[in-house]
Amino acid sequence: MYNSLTKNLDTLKKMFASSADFTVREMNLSAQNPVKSAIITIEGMCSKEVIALSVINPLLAYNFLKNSSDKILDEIKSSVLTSSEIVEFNTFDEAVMFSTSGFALLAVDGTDRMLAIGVQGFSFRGVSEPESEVVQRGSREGFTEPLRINMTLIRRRIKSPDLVFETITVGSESQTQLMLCYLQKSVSPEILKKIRNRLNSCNLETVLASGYLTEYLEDKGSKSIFSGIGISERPDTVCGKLTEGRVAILIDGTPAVIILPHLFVEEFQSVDDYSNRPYYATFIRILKYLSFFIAVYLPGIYTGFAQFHPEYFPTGLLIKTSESLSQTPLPVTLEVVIITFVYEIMREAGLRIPKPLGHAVSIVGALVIGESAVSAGFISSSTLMVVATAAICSYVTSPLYPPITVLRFSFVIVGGIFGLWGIVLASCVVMINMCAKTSLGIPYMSSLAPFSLKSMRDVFIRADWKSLSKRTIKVQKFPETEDRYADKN
Amino acid sequence: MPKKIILILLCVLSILFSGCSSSKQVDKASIAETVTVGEKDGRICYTFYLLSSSDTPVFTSVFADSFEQACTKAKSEYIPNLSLSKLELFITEEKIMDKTLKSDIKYISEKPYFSPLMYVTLCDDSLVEKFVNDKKLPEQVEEHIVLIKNKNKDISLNCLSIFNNFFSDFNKEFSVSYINSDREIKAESIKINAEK
Amino acid sequence: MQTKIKFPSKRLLLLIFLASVSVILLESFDLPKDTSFLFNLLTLLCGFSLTALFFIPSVIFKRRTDLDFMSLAHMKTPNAIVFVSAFYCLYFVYTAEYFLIKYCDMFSKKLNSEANIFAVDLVLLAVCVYAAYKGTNAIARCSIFVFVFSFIVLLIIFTGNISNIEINNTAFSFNGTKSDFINNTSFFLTPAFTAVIFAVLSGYTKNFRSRQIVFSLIVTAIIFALILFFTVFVLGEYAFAQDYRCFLLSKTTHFGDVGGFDSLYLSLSVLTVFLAISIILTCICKSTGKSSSLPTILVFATIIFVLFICAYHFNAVKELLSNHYLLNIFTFISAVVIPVIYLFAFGRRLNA
Repeated sequence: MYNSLTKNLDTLKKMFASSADFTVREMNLSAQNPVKSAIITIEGMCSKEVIALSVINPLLAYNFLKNSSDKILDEIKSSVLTSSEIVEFNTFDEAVMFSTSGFALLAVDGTDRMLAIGVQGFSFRGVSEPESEVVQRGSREGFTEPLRINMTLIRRRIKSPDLVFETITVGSESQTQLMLCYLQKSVSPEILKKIRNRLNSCNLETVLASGYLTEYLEDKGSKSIFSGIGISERPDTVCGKLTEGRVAILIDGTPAVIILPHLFVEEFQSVDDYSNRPYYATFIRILKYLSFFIAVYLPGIYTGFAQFHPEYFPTGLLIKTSESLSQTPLPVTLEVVIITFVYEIMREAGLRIPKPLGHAVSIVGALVIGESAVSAGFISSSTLMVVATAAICSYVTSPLYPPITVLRFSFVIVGGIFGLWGIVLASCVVMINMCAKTSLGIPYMSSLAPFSLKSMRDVFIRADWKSLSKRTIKVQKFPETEDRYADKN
Repeated sequence: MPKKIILILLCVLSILFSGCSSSKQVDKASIAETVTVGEKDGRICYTFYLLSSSDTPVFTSVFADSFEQACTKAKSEYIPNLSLSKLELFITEEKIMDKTLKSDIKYISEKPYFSPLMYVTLCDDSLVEKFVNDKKLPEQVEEHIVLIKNKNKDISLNCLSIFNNFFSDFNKEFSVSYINSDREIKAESIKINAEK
Repeated sequence: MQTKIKFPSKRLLLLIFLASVSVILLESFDLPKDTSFLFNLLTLLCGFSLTALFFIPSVIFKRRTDLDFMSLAHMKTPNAIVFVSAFYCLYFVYTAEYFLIKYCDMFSKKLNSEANIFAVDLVLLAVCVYAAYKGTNAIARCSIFVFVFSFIVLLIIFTGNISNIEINNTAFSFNGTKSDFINNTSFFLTPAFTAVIFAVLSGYTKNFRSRQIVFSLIVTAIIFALILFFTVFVLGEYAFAQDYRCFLLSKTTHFGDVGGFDSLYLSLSVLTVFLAISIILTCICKSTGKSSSLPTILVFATIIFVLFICAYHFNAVKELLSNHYLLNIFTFISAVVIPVIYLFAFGRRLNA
């Protein structure tokens, strides 16, 4: 930076290309010789009331005894301003970073240093229940877009000095702030090191959502339709994962928090499991696993049987299926594919449509792929039932919806071309892919394959809290995790 | 890129050559539930009763000397999509038993699509004609077969038990179920001298 | 793709056990008609005892050095390894063909006679190539799921056939000739190919105990014995009408009115054959000294496919490739003769 206020202001104006929201409030500080100063803000990012009360008023009211600009700045920092957060800096890059983060910059003529004053006042969405992770008995709080609020939500739940937040910036243009969040005594240093290296290798220009980073964080050679990255919008879920040695990555501007490492069995766990009684939680867990298999396999098996193995249907069902399918013009494979496709269109439309029009979509959906299509003979009722059942089952484990959809389509096509034999072989491919996948060196199918009896208390069943609390299984202690994790912990 | 090309080629080749054209679609398949063997005009007649939702029986009759011949003829001339995997009842008139039963049971035992648990039974002269008019008759016959099995464990009901009867060396004759329809449907057992 | 992390030896033996199950499911059990159940049981015990003996040389290598025989051979005889590798590659290609031919035969006879058998083989090989590329560890993890499925299927088949059991006195006599004894023992020796797999892949495992092999063989023998029992006392004479007796057993499985579980048999046979051929492909890779190298796997898969086509066009080739006597001789040389030669040559210099 320059010692001249005018030069500094000109440079900053040029950097911001004289943007309309770049605001400068110039003033003269009362000293033996009046000293020029300026407050630089980005309009909308700072609270005008707080600036007026905590910054401008105290500055104008104060009589500075010292003449030197450097000493005036020191005095402002230590004795004048009432703001709780003041940071000193001397580069233009930092000036840009602070001003775009909602800080007010104080520049004084005659010194190459500036002060960044924490007076954020941008508007943001309040803390509310996340729509994608609704629970019956857990907390109703969810993460929001500002990073600091999310940090507070976690800090309130883990009141331990072990909880660490570490800042990383990604995105050459967006300069998005990330927070690595972990428990110092639980986490593996090797896992942390890997995450830091992968984030530093990210060469994106802008990072606007958590999805931008997932490809940099996944293990190489572990390409799969299943994701080795966990996402959550719930502070209670994140805190639970942190106690197991996992690392959370909070991203400024998005409520979705990344959790690493992430395993397959976690897709079937939810906060409600730990709030409900063990027997009910176990029932729901088993229901989720069954729903997953039904959602993936039912349309494919139905297609395979109808196309190649009609003798495998029970006799009563065979007559009805045969009768309903004989009245439709399309082969059963094409029928199932088309109905599934239409259902996906309706679902996507329902997601994007404005709420006032939502009712119309559901009525049209019910009519289009419901009774009318069956009565008109375009589709058969048995196919519609199968696809509808599979669709409902896929919502039981909604985090797995993307892989379930892809697998469902694949199995339908494979079943229609090769029959049951093809479905079994396709399952082999998927199984091998999942068994070979790792998440930060930890096998993705941990607890199941490699099998761990100890962790079974929280996989298909939910053991009672007395058993669960005996020893928290740290993620780096799972079998066949890279040996150096286990050794160092 | 080369991996993707190989994968796509593999998929296309396997789809083209996999024999998916030989699918037997459920809506097109004609699934036989019962087969009766009787005599008509001095010739042996095999009648295939197909699964359907209609109130009256749906059937096709074929004249042939053996079940194997009848199946071939039925597929080539009458029911091209004939499926015998769901066959539950094979019933032969007693008077033509000597001509057809042995070869028919041998054929049923050798083909993989027949269930070994399919009921093989004999009946009197008038029963076979009744199947044409009464859709519930096969069900009634099966119920009576189960009843007689519960009373008499040695009776040979299906292909499996018929063959197992041959396996126990000390039996030269064995009992099979016999459906009598003089007044009402009733399953009895008759003894047959067997050859291995 | 092969991970450097060692996995428990129990899992390799589970994988080997499931490969043996594929033998059980795909074998015709064409034992001579005149031999009794007890006689066959005796030959089964002899066959499995011999199988256990086949494991001994590789167990000695594993206990002394914690390495498998193939890695040791590469280390100790870098000049002669070409011949040893070539022999083992030939052996594994032969074994893969043996399974493929049996499976495709079963497929065309029992499932769909009109299907193009070469397409079936090609697709199966393609999936196995993918699995082999992912490595032994991934295949071993997959075997856990296949094991659970196989447990359920075998339980259903056995319990569903209990009501069909008819025990007769003749079966408990002791009938059989000397040639029947040799023939049957040779038949029950077929799972011994797993000893060669162990000899090649045991270096990837840790926490090995000899009793794991004994336990695995006992369980395999029990399943073989159960299948034999049900074949004799459920299928009886019917068993001689068709081949693939396990398929017949699945057809006779019933619980009241609910019957015909042949879809489960067909699924299990695909899964176990997939595991067997995938692990054989990884063994081929290991024999060449490269771990999960895709070009190597692809080359050998192509050779297997070409041989398969030849087998279906030339009957003599097919008979040669599906002869279990030849397989047993090959297995004996691979599992016993060659490792014993190395044991005698380098035995004293082997240290853990």
